[in-house]
Amino acid sequence: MERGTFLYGLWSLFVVGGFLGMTMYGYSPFADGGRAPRAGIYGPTHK
Amino acid sequence: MLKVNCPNCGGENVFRSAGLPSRVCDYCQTILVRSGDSVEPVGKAATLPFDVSPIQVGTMGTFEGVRFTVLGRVRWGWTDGSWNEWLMLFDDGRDAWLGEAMGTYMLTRARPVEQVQSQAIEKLARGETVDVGTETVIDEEPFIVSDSRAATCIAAEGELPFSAPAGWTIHSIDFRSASGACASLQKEGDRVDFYQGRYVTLEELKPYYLRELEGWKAPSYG
Amino acid sequence: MASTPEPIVSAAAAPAPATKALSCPSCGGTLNLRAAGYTVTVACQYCGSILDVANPDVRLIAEYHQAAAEIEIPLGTRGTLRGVEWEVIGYVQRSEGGAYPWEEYLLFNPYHGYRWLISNGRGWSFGEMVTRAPTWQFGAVALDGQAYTSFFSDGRAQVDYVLGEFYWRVQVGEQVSTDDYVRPGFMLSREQNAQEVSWTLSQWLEPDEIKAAFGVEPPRNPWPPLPHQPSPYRGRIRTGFKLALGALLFLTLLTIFFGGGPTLYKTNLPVALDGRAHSTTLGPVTLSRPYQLVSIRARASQINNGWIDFDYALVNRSTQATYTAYGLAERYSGRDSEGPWTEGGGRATVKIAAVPAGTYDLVVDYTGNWWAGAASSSSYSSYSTYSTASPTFDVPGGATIEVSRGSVFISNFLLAALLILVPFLFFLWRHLKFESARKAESDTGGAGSMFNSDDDEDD
Repeated sequence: MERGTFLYGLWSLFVVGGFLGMTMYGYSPFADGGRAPRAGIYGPTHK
Repeated sequence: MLKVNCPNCGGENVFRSAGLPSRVCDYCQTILVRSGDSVEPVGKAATLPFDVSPIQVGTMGTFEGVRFTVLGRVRWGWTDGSWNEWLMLFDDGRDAWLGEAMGTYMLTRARPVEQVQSQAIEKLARGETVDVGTETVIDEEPFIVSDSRAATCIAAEGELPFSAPAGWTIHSIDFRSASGACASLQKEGDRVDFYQGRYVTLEELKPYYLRELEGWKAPSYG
Repeated sequence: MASTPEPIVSAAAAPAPATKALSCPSCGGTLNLRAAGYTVTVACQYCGSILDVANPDVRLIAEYHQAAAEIEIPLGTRGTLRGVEWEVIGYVQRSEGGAYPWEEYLLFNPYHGYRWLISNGRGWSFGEMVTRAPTWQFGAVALDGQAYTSFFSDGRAQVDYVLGEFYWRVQVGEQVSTDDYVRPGFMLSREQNAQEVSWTLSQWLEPDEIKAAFGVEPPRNPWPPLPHQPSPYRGRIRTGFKLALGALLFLTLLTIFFGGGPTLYKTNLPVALDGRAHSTTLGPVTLSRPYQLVSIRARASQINNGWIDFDYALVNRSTQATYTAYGLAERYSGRDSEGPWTEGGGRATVKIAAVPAGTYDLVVDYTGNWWAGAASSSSYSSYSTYSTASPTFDVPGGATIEVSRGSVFISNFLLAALLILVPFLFFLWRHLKFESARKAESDTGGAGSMFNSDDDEDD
């Protein structure tokens, strides 16, 4: 297998791994919302 | 195995097979034909011109599982060049010719022309002519007439099935097939001889005792 | 016959000479025949005269008085290709009626016969005459189980210049009709003159190979490529395609496996298009995975000519960590010169990424607004509840808020798929560019590649 193909294989592995990671973490650069600074106290604060 | 002294020069020559009744004296080029235990001189062969053929009398090898020894050679010439026909004697007593031209090799065996079923061959055997390019079928394989030329015996050496005097001329018609099979019909007056075989590579014959040439490394095929 | 006959050949015999000297009848120069016994014609390397050496007496065929041209690989050069040593003994320059010239070097080894080195200025090939004839198959030819597609047809090659030894009667000006067929890396050429047909199989040589063998420096990236030059991307495309397919399959399987999750909370909120802000706290919403994507869907299916702003804040009860998002559910309809129209679906889904496990409250701040433009729309009369005359503004059915756990963003999948495909598509483009430039040289159009095309590139 030549070098170019090997690098492509590595790249694919990286992308699929990254996809898996993002999926398990529930993350996406396209998300509508995420962590925001604390905006006040809402709801019952006792656990 | 018959060892005789040449009646012309006295040199010792060997006849190795009853099927090869003729040979060229190694020393004076007199053609000797065996009759019983003695030999008769029947003419002279010309000296071989210099060439760089890797085959020599004494080269051995194997073809289709049977071992052979090269025992003789006839060199033929035509208007556009010349080629060697090496006589191979197999361990099973049969003989064949190894035609060597332009770096390619064709191995053919004599076959009685009456046995061959082919329109073109039958025409030639009757004395008619056949054009180059004519298609014919031999043993269910399609062949094309590739060549039709007059050939003259230039020189000879070693043991041969016939005597090959210098100047002996025949007419040779060659056939080729798509698969690499080849055949040759040779006419001399009323006599017709037919040979059939195929292209071979030197590698395929696994030859040894090849001629050593200065500056070239002879391959060893194991 | 004896089972082990004693060898006829004497083991002590000295090697026979490999060359034969002869004198040029025209200039007197000494020529060394390297293929004596096979060579028929010699072009003297000192004066260029053509000599017939088929017979013991050397005959002068054509007399010239010119110094031999300087050729890239001088006669007598030896080189090893594929484990066999070859000597250059002849050189012939040919062309198509004077145009597109190329060179052929005749190589010789007494134990292996003849080969050819063919150079056309863009690359080198190693050729061998074949003793079998190819078979015809639908406009292509086949030899030893390999198919070759037509590349050049009805060519006419003529000899323009000769130097050295040849095994046939070569003449300057002699012509043969030619046809060439190719498959990646190989060219099968047919030559025919009045007497016979011959086929030669040549293999394209990598620049490194010909350089190592004969010391010539071929062009590294010739353009356009040679007819039988294999695309440097061919292997990569094949494996790259399998890799890309495998990766995409994997991505798809992951997407399916980690698919949408269960509804965690669902409720209905009354909404009015009155422009007044409302806030409500929904919950508890329990998130069990270490991290997850939270999907909040607001559906006001019966809204018309209005919109609802939703400001969400998902607040972790214990840490008070807050995750916010904004959604807009809207729908408008009316009638114009082209007929009735609608815009918007009355739904909004927002996705909040990477929310850690925990119990959350969902705070929803929402405002329903009425589209003033509806008053000018000619069909609002069917929505009498929205007329300024009786301002109820209530959206029948309200808005259903549904919180669910989804784990895969389709956009992530598309992004990953794109990243996988982009390098592959880049090399595919390069390969197609190579092949199209290569095939453009053909005079039959469509000369075989991984992708067959019907382009006809006649100039």
